[in-house]
Amino acid sequence: MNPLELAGIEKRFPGVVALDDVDFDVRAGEIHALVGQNGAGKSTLAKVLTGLESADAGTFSVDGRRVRPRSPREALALGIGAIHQEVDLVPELSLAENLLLGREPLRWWGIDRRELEARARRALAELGVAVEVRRAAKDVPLGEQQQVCIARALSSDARILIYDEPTASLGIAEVERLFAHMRALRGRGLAQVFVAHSLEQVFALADRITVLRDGRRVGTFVANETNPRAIVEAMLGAALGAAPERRAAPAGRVWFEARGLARAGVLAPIELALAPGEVLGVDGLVGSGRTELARALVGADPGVHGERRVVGAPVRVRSPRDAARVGLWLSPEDRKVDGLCLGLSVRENLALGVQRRARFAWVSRAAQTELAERWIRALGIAATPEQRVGTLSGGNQQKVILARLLAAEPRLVVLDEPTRGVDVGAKAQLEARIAECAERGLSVLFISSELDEVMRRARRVLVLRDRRAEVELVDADVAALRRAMAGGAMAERGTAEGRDGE
Amino acid sequence: MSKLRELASKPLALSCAGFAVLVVLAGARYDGLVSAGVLANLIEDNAELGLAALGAMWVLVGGGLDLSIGSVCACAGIGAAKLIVAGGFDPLAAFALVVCGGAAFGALQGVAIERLALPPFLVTLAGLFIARAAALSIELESLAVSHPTLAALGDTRVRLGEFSIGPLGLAWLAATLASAFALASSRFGRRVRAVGGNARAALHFGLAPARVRVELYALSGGFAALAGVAHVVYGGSGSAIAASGLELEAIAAAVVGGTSLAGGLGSALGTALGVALFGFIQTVILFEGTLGAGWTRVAVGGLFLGFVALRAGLQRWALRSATADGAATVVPVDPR
Repeated sequence: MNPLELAGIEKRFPGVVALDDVDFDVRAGEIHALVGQNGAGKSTLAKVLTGLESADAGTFSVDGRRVRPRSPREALALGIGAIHQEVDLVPELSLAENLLLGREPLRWWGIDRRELEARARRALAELGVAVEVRRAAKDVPLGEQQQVCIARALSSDARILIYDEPTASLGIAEVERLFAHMRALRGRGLAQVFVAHSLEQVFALADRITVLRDGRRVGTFVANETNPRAIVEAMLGAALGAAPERRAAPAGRVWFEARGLARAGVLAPIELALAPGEVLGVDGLVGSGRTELARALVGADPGVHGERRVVGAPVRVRSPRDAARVGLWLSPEDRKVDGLCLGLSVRENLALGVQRRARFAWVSRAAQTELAERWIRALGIAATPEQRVGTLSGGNQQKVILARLLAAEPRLVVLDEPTRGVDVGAKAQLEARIAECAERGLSVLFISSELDEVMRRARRVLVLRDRRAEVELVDADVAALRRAMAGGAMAERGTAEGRDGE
Repeated sequence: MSKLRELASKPLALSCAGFAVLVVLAGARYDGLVSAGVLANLIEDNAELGLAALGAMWVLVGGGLDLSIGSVCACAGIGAAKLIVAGGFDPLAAFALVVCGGAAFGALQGVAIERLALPPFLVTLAGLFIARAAALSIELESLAVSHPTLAALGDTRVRLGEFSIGPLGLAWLAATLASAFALASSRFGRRVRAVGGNARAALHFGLAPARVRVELYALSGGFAALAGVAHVVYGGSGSAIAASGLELEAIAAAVVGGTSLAGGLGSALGTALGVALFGFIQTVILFEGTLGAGWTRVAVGGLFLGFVALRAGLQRWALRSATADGAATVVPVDPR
């Protein structure tokens, strides 16, 4: 009898079968990874497990007892705790208040603040975290917020923990700490479900791996007896071809140059230069200044100093509009907030990219539709021109952004995390499109937390740390890149128990 | 510098400082303005807005918005007057009845917001129309109330030397203190701040955001009706056309007192301070004497705008100078 057993789970949304006859179980003292492409159903399954959605059919049992949690509140009562993708704390409340929200110790006059803080401190100390629990959540680094989420799940006496892509917002050191906690909890006999995008992480942690595809369970594998390639093939349902080669930059002339690009208090002066057709990688930990650099390049924020030159001649870029005029476009980090008008259709979003270049005040409806259809075909976007962008999957949304950038016929595109939250198949397609564009002479500034992705595409990688340029690597490997990103912190981490195999 | 920066990030402190400056300046200009008598009147005169503003504050902290406050206030006022005059009710019973009615109306709006998944702006805007129409259907004309209990209530005053406070002031004071306490130290307050600060997190934490929101609109409706009761006690009559636009004044007062329109943050004491600030401006203009009543609205509007602009500017400055300091401490790294 396992702590958690699901059988024949089915979940339908209008027009979609999200989960179809899925079996899933977790043993005590096990970390069970759940992987699959976007839309494969792993988020839906995680939601069923944590009570955010309830299944339409199938059985759900905890310790052999049939249950039916209908809200996170009921799941918690059954001992199922959850740690979510985004660190979700209430920003204005203190860490202690967040940790014990809804379970505050009471005295006759109300909440016993001293006891509240003592309990929070105890819960965090158990995880080996020393942090001032009176500080507001919004004033604390993300990593520590995540620790509070974990402490919160644990202090509710959960025996089953569901991690829904918990490392999305964490740096390397924080991921290590999270994994160390998870291993310790495994030793204490907890059942843990790890929903993940990164196979590297899955193989570092998991005992078993369940692969979902199109809402069905493809199979459950014992981690020791399989390998990442087999898992990816199971996810895609097809054999993988050879990985594309990274190309050398055409030697010679520089198309774009930035000199002393800086923003007070945000970014120390940075120099960079790109040749036509070159892909320059930019990397660094969360908060290292990657996104700040991307935004500074196109003038998205005020107060940027420094000079930008196009073919040697200085250009004035004080807004993204100026940047567009010289062929410089940004694909922003948060596509939903900064990248797309979610309420508009694919056609309308694409038209926004070409509007500025239109000879007349407006682009005709027929021309817009033609444009949309052309780019939908070219990039393999799974959508119709009139579909609202908000209804597309992450990968397709990113393709729409890329299409909008390319439709404007840019000379340099700055891609800030273009593959974040995008599934394996779409990632490969995006990468291939970017490579094609580079071959035709487009310069690309490629920012990504997925190091092997950067290494695959770019020969030169600019590494940022603490909001300044740390070093520029040429033809380096992932290990060297990681060392550069971590800077001095690397020395002490060398002995840490770990997953440094890659 | 860092002290000033810390102050700038505390809206309540800023409101206190602004109020203090205003009192000192005005006190120096007009004799007898800053006195126990004026203060007592200030409290009694503004209890109606004060009670309404507390309700607005609670809803805002929970991430919502209540536009029906003014109409509910008027409806409760005329309703109570009608119950006393035509129904022969004892005033206290009538008051209790309309406050319950206001809370029920608020709860109904909350249920509509949750069940229909509509923005609070739209639902409470409908509430604004409905409650006003209900008020007018009770009685078109203003209804004077004279009742021994009411007279006795009006004469009750608690004296502290020269300063005295009436029943409305006491009610406002008690409601403010109770709200402040509930916001800081009760589970309810914690739930409200959580739902307003991050509703998704609250759901994940096992709270029931929908229920919290319904409770909040009920609370706001109750406070609005209480403001209507205050109107009757203060003026001795109920009127269906009273308190028009009260909801916006209430929201403005809450915002001046440090309540965030985005939810999650708020202060009961600050809200009272915001109401007092508006009341004080009106008193000052009265003392000036030469300016017409219309000018009080101009002054209140200008003061409000200046205040929120000042606060936003200070916060931006604090943020900027903090990040600049932080960056300056980073030691330059050797490229190798």
